[in-house]
Amino acid sequence: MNQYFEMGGYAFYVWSSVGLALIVFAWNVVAPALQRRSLLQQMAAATDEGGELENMQ
Amino acid sequence: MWTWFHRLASPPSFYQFSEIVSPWVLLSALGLLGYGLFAGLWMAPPDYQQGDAFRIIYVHVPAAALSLSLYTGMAVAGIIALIWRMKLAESAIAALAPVGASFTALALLTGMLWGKPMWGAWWKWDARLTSELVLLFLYLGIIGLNSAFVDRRAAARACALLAIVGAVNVPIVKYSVDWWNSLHQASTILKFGKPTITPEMGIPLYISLAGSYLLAGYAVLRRMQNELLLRERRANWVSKLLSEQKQP
Repeated sequence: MNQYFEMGGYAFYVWSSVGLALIVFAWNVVAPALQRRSLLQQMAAATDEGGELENMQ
Repeated sequence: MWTWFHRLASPPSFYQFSEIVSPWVLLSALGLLGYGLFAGLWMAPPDYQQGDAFRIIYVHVPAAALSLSLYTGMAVAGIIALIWRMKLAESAIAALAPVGASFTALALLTGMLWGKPMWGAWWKWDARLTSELVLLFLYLGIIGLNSAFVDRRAAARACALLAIVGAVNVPIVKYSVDWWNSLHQASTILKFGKPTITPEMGIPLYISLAGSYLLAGYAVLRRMQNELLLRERRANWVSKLLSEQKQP
């Protein structure tokens, strides 16, 4: 088992690559969801005030 | 068929369509990625030359393939946006850029992590590596340009133009290993003729490729939805959606 995680001496390179990939995968799932939540909140706030939202990115 | 396509291209229908489709896209992406990575990291035999270091292929190749595919998609969306002023194509440009940039960065970083033990250097100013770095800068340029405009339509037109001009870099990245004497190895699977990889190593790679493409597709759909919400915030369908959300 331990020998498996050692990756024939390449553990650092292989597992860092896998770790970075998991970070990028997770970011691609989470970031659009966060963006949507803040967008909906801003839009709801703007309609409550009857105002217009400017400079919204 | 044509009317169906036409209706789907309207922002509210596309929004609804993505709302239904994207959870399934995400689910299949995670399933395929989970299996592909497990099979690649655990079950595939070590390479006869590179040992276990070759396993980086299972994250590096999908990321690199996506970096080019997403850019090509963005340039095509740019052409459609410039010629037909189609709203969906305009929002696709804005949605594709950050997803593409993330996978380009991943391709470069995993490439460095693969290059160090195999070539003895993190980085070389080699044709493949340099053109991939240029690709990252193109993506970042488009993201920056997009956020520099308040008017979404003007932003989309400017980004479309940059995306189309930058598309000359795509074939350079793809064929750099054939055109120049590159340190980077030539493609093992994405080429004409028989793949030079054994099925035990190849099948997990195809599965993680499919999973990565679906995951990127999910992110693009979700980002397009956001872009449409922002652009159409004064339209009836968006206010309806907002009022529906307020009453739980």
